[in-house]
Amino acid sequence: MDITTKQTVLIIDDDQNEVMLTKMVISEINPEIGMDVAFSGEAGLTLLRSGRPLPELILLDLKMRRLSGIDVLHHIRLDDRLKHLPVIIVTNSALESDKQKSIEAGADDYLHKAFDIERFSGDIKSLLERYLVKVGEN
Amino acid sequence: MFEDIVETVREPLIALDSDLRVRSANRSFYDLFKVRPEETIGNLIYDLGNRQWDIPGLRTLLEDILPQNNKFDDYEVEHTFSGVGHKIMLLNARRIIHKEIGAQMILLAIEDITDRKRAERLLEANEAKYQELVQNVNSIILKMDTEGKVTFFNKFAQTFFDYTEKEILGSHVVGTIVPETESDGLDLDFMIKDIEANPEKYINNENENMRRNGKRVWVAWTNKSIRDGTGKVTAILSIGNDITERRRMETELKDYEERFRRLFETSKDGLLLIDKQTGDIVNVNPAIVEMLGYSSEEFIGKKPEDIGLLKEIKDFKDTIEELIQSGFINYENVFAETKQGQLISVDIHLVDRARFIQCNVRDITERLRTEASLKQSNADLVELNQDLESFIYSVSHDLRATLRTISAFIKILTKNYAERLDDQGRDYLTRVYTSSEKMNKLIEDLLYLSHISRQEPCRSQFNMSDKASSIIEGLHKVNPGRSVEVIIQKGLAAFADPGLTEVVLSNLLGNAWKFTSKRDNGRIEFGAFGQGSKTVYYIRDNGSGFDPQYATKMFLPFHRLHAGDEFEGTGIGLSIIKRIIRCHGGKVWAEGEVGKGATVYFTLG
Repeated sequence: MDITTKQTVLIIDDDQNEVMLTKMVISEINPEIGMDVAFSGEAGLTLLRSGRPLPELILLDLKMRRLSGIDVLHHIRLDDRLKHLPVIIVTNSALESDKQKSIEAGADDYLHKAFDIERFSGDIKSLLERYLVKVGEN
Repeated sequence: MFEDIVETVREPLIALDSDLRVRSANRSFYDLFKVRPEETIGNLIYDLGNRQWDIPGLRTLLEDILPQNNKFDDYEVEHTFSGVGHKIMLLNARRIIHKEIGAQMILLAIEDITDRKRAERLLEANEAKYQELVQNVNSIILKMDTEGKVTFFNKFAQTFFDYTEKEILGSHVVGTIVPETESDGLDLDFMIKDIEANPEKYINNENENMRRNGKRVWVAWTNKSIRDGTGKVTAILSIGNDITERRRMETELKDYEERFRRLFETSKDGLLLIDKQTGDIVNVNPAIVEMLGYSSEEFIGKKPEDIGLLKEIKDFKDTIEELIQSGFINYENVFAETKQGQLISVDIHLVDRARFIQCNVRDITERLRTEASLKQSNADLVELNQDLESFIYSVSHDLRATLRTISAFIKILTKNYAERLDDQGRDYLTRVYTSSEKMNKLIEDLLYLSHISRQEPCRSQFNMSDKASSIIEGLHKVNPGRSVEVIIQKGLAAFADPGLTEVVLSNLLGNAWKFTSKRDNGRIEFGAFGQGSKTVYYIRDNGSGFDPQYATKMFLPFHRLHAGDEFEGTGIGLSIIKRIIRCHGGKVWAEGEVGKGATVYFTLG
């Protein structure tokens, strides 16, 4: 996977292990992709509103303490500066209702984390290919 | 001389020549037959009175019988003469020799027996009519002498008591038609003797009698003593009518009344009888006294609304009219007011009972309370169930998420650090990974179980045989080396949720597949049979089977009948099947024996 300019993915998840796994998977797919991490919904929103360059993609966990993924998504979609950002809800939940809620709240995609890490890696890869700008497309 | 004799005989007499011409006739003859001598003498007897005497019977007599016998006696001839009407006559004739003229003659004496005969016939007819009446009247008529022996027993009595006339005549009534003791203990033998002595005392009485087969019957008797000239009783005439049915109905009515009275008294429902004409209460039972707090006396003569019942009804008279039309009226969950002014919830049923209206009042306070609390309990239970489901879901979900990271890091460890471990270390890693995968399957099954509990089956018609075939095909793909004989009954249809039924079939066929894996000649059979209106499907295998004492236990979650390393499985499969089948309104059960295979049966509602 070739990416010309430095592109960044923001991971918002309150589980350190999950974050670590996701980071490992992404850097294995493409070590060039930059990654920012926020360990809570609030931290994620603060980071997005801090004036730093915006990420190209947000991987947002659904089930978090305090602000949930859906809450964070609402804030993003209501913020003129942020609302255009692609957001993928990445979760352990296989509930159809959770997927429904996420799409209604404005998620661009919904990923149920596969138990098998290799399948998970494959799923992440195809999402990155869909949402990050590839060589020659720029 | 001869003519003189003829003349003096009082009964009509004629003398005929041998050629049957009248030689002489006496006065009686002329009088009786209203003929004159000049039109008689010298004429052929048959020609007399415009051939009125041309009687076939007479011809036979004179021309056939007399020539052979010289006489005949009391020959009865019946003839209608145009002049004197219908006559019955007795003819006596003699052939004699007339000495004076030396010729043969016939003397014919005619006796007119018309009146006597008529009287006799009338008497006979009357006698027959009387006999017929006595014999065939629909009443028992019997006569007995003063000793109680039967001297007359009419046909009806014979049929009724089942005795022939021959059998009964001369027999004593006691022991035949009168049982020695009546059912209720009255001594009939004594009574019979008493009837003989004092018949007037028994002019009308009702007795229990007995048929030939011993069956008791009730008869209403009218007895009359027959006395001789000295006033001594010589016989007793009894006329009886069968009142068995009437007595039975009377007894039943009495029983019915008694039962009704007992029900009325002991009913837990308040009961009032209301006069249909006046609308007044005429009778109440203890329950209504208890319920409304008025004494019985306070109820009587009042209208229902005066004692706190059906106050909302404006005109009870209209209600009565409606009741006569419909037979009954129900008022459900209405208020009744007690004497103390307390309102209680009641159901009221009005029933039309001929002269009365029966009013049932049921206190439903307790029932309403129970219903409300039941409703609450049910709602609580539903909530609790939902809580439990979401608890199971959330726990399983969190467990799975944690397990996922464990499993992922082990995999990374295996991949990136394997060369730094020795064989034993790598073996340990494999074991941890396998265990985590097994645990994941367990959690997924648990999640599925929790998921289907909340699912309503969405039924449609589909082919079960096809589904089973494609599941077996899938199993063959997973274990291509297995040789199993699979027999699937063709064309089995089901009306059920196709997705859920597939889960059932794939679990059961999967089990059969699994448990026959240790056999060389494995055999799996899927079929169905009818049981009443239901279709029972079954999956049979000749695999490892199970101990029959666990036949019901095996449908509980996590219950495994085989050690984990013997056959793979989480132990939730059969619970899932049970849930799916239960939500279809069906049943599932199993039969088996260790080493002899298993059969799982199920219905789909």
